[in-house]
Amino acid sequence: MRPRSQSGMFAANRRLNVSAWRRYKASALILWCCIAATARAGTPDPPVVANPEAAVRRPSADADAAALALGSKLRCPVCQGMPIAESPATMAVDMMQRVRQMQAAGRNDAEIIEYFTARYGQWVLLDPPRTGFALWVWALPPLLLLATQATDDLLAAVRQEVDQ
Amino acid sequence: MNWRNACFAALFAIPLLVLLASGFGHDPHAVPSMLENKPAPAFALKALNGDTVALASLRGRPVVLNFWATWCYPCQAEHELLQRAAREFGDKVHFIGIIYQDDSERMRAHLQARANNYPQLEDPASVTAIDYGVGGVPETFILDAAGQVVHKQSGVLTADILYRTLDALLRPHPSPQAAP
Repeated sequence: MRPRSQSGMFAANRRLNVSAWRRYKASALILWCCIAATARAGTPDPPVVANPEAAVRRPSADADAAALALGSKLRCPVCQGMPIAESPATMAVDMMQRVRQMQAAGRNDAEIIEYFTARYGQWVLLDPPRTGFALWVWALPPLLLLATQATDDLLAAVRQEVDQ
Repeated sequence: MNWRNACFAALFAIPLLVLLASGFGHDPHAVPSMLENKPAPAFALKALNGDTVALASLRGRPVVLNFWATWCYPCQAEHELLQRAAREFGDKVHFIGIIYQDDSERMRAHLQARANNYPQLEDPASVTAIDYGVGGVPETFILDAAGQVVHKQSGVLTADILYRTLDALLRPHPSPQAAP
């Protein structure tokens, strides 16, 4: 049988590890929140066109800015994770041209995004909507952290009971 | 490790492994097929011989739409298969080539040295390619007689897929009277 003093040493060691593990998880949670917030801030929403007809009359500089804003949300299908607004690939240039044509024809951003997702799926969106299965990508990391925290607390409580 | 710890570890490890296994089974660069079992987008494009070919005029027979280019080596290998199939199926199936981001003159020169049994259409500014969600070549769409996409092939088409799909489309449907 293990001596009492050695058992106490192991218990203290476990408490130290548990404390370190909790600090690590809290840091990971904060880090994840920061990354998520930065990612969100880095991809501004495209300007909302209240009146689709106004898009046709929009000055060219504004129209180009609107096309670039929308193009930065759409993934180039022949590149490695690049938006069509930044890629020099012919396909990306052609897709940008299509975006500009659709905007000039009065189609709003939601309609243009729907047009591309109907052909390329959610894959074409660099910032997938936080709905459906894509929501799990965002929800799973904090949920896992919380679940491990809860399990850890449960195990710590059981160990405390056993030690007493 | 006691059984309790093992159970907790398994509780987290198994869903994680399933998630990873399903993720590794997918190519992250593969563009998904969204048009299968949906009506094929309409087009009216100019062929290399000057004729205009509209998809609407092809209704009534299955259609094989092949997006390809001369600079694409896998497309050249696939071209032989499509030419052979076009000869064998004859009037029963429409075969159409759509030139993807290539020069028309280069395509004409390329085809002069090879067999060409069906129209090759120019697609300025990739309008039709984007309409079909093409993410690279070769890509082939097989449509039924009503203009519905029944199969999309990303990458090289195999004889097995092509012949099996077309045979199924050409097989006569059992009439309602024949059913018991």
